[in-house]
Amino acid sequence: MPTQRFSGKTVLESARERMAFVFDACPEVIVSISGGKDSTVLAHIALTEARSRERRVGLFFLDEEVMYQSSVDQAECLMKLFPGVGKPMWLQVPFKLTNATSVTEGQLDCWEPGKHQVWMRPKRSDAVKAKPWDVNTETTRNRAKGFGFYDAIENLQRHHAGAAFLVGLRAAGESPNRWRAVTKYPIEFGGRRVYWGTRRESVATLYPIYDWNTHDVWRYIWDAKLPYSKVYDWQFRKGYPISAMRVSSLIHERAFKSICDLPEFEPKTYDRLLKRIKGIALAQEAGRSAKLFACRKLPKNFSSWITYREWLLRTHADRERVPIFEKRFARHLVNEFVARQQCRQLILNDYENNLTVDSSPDPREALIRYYDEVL
Amino acid sequence: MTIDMPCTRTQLAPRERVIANTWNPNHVSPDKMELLKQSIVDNGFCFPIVTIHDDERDLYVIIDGFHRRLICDPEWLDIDPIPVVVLGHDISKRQIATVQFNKARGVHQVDLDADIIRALVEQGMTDADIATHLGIDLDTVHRYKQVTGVAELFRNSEYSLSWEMVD
Repeated sequence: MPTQRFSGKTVLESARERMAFVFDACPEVIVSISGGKDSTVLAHIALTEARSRERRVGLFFLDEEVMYQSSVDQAECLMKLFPGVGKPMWLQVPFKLTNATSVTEGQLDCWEPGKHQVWMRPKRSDAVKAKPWDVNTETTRNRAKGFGFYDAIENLQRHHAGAAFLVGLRAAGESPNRWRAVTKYPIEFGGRRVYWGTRRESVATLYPIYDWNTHDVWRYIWDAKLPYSKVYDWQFRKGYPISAMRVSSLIHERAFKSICDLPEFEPKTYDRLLKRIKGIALAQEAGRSAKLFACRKLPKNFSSWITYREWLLRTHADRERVPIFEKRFARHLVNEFVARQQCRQLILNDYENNLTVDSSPDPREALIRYYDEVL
Repeated sequence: MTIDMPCTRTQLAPRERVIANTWNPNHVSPDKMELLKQSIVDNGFCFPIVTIHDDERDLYVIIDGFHRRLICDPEWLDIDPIPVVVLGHDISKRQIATVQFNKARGVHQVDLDADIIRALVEQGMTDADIATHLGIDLDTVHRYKQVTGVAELFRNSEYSLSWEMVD
């Protein structure tokens, strides 16, 4: 059973040591940047290490097209930060993103060929505009869904076989999935057994700042006088708690709430987004509404989640997907707890089953039974 | 297209004859009510209440301006008679007009709000005055005044101790 052991060093000292170890172990090092604060810090530590060794480090930015302009600006900033050290890998290639805001346009084909009039931005002259890997051997995890975000990352990684990919994933305060990723499955890397990485084929993905807390990230940004996405300052002014401040994707099923604030943050990005994909105006108005998207409160004209679900199925705008939902729901238990989650899937048109339904007995019923017995 | 200008036919109506409609979905939070009151104190009554006239009961039914009407009550600013304009809308046109009045409006870009607050500070207004007149609390004023950004808040924080997983 692996256990957590404190080392007596600060997270910054340790991150620098880990970075030196990665550069020792691997001739090619590539940092994934997102425009967010964590990858900004990671990229800076990597760039500093590379410069001291007179080496170069790849800065990989997978451009989702539908992004905050601030994220794009931040990526650009990082690529220019250490000229001759950072090796820009700005990827603007077609892939599919889930659009949770519309029932009729469930996926966005970002950078769709031939649609350049409607792209959020023109492609950059310095970007990689065609898939750099061999498209004949390209892999897709799920053919039905099509070539998506993670497929783009996987294929790029395979294209750079033997390289070390660095990602600014942190265990603290994030989801249990992330904690597991950086603590559970050790890999062999550089002649050592490291827990802070994952491996697929010959490609290692490493998380050198896995043990950083939010305040460490900000302290580093302040000390190094690093540029960071303006979205954080806007969120701060809007009164977001520090822990809730994040720069995420704009439209996938967990992140589309960021659209609520977009008109106040980046009105121009919002205006372009309205023209780019369907469903944006409704998500902007109702994204925070407990009744509609989050499905926490039952709309007042329905007596139960089960009847609401039946109504949603009957009236679902995307008729082709209805059998997918019906088939899936037939395998679930019938109770209010499950039905509420099914309603959420229908409202987000989550036919891909990204927000999975926990098909278990209604905890409320068990609680009521318990009190019936004791009282 | 000729655009009618009902605002030029503003009239004064007795307060108790101006009543709420049954359909308005608009909600104004208490802090925004205070701001509305402050706005009317600072600027006067600039926007008449939009109504239709119910001839049978001789009442003015509000299409837009329910909260301005509330502000006229004795517990707020005690204004009587109050300025109204009267439209000739049928029922569905009224309901549509309510939604149009409520929703066709912009939002403030956070950056520009911050610019205004900084300008007011430079013109010598106190934080408390800014809070009162813009209808925001002091904490928000401070957040907007802070120009160096969120990273500065952490300038004195200590780095955490690192850890690793061991077998």
